[in-house]
Amino acid sequence: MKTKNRILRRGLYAVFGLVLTVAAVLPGLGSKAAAYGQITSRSIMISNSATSATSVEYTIGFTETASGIVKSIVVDFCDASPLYGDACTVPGTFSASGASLTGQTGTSGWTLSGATAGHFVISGASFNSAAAMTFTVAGITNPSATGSYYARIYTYAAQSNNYSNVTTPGTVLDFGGIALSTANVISITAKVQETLTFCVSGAAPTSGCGGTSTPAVTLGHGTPAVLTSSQVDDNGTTTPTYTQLTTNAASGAIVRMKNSNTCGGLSKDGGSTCDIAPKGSVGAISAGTAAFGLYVAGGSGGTGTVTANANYNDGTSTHYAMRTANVTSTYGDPIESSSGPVSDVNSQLTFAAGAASTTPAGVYTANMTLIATGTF
Amino acid sequence: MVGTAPIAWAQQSSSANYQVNEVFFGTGGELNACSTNYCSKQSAGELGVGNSTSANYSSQAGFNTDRNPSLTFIVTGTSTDLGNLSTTATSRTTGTFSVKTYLAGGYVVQTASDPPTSTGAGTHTLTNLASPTAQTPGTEQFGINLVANTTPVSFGANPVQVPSGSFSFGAVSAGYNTPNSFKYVKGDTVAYSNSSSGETDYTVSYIFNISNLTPSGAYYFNHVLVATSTF
Repeated sequence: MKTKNRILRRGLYAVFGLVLTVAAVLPGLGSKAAAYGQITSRSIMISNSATSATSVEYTIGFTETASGIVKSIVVDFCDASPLYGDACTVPGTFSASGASLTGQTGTSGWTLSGATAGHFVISGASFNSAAAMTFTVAGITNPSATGSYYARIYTYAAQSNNYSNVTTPGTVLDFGGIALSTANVISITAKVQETLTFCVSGAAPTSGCGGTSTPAVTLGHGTPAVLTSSQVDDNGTTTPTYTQLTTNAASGAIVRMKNSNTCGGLSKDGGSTCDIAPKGSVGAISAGTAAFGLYVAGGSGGTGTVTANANYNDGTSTHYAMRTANVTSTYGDPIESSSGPVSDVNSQLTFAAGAASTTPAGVYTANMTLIATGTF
Repeated sequence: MVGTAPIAWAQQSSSANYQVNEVFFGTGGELNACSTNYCSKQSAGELGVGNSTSANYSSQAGFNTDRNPSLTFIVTGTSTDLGNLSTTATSRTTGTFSVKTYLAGGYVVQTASDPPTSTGAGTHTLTNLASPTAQTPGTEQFGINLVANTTPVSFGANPVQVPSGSFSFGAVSAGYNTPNSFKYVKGDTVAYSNSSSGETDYTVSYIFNISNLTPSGAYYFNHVLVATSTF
């Protein structure tokens, strides 16, 4: 019995030994060691994530902590895996075939070569510096599908490396995989309408033509106010008149004036005759002269510039004009304008008139129409 | 019996200058045990498994972790027409995107588009807010933020961590994280994480204001967001 037991135990020991041997050996079977390190702090920043975007810039960055190590890198783009040695298919319509190197840090004088749809090489005669390295590559077309895709970066000590293909990358110093992603675009549309706001007021308007009143100009002196040959009267302080202009017209706006009297001046018979004649071109109205005219001050306040027309402002505030043919034309005579957008710009209009000693008595009137036109 | 130490699967070597990822020391493991149609990852006797995180770092422990670094960036593609802008009221809208990244040192999301611009002759670009600013009708403004706003109306939302803040760590960048204040500078980072992160859902709030001087036209803003992970 003892003999049988010893034989049995020896047999069991042999089996256990065999099992242990197999258990120790099996893990060694199928294992492999790859002689490369990992690229640290690696990323690829793209300038545009829209699908199928062209002329996209890819900035490849990673950190080498020691100088004099790397003289070339290879970048592969793959649709499904960033892993070393895995199969690699170029993502969709992604293309780096037109890639060009437009910037580099951490080294200098490197160039891009061997660009194909999903691959390019960047290399140079000088080694890297001990610093973060970046390479900006332009002229890349993004994949046509939204979602993730991948890049693989290999570094080499040789300027002319022995990369063959994704499964035979050659003598690799370091390797790193990177995930990238295209994405949808958020699109927003908004419209700005053409605007023109113009008002004429007996009081200086506030913002947005606020606080306006109907202008009613009375020319004369005394009570009741009358025109005489002794002086020229204006409405500057008694019954002032203002315009306000606001417009987003890119080329600004013009304000034109029309006189309801076809004779162009002040009339007591509905405009058929003007015993107080239009002044004509800009200048002074002398006391004792029957004439009617306008002085335009030009813009003030608000934003932007409204300029008085030189025909109604020669720099002297007591010079007036009323151009007969123009103020009685279809569209009127320009009296002020802006060259671009303006907002809440006021301008004071000063009318003036004088009578001659022979001017017939009567009530003289004129209806002045002001028209603003924007050029958008 | 010969007791041989198993050969280490060292896809990335370990040194003072290298990270150590996807390395398994031990017995009873196979990264790619494959037949014609199937592959499997196998392990036995793992010493530690699971996810560990801190404020700025995370790790995936165990043999059967996914070895693929990843970045998932989804923008909800929308097309919004705000109609006619007004000098008396702000126009607003929102958009959303989500980010998650694995085996990364973090991510940034940057805005890559010019501010809204009109087309045709005399093109004009709406004035972007260079620093966080309240919305002011009547003043030409374009800006965004990525937080919930309350004044003068409620719109937008704070980031949402999916499934929770224990797994997701995305945050809104300074300048875009102040409620009721808006900013837009092309190229700015608007969201980020300092580590691998589960999904964070972000809501972008947009404001448009015009002045009396804003040129007329149709203004278009095609918002391109770019997510970049560092591995």
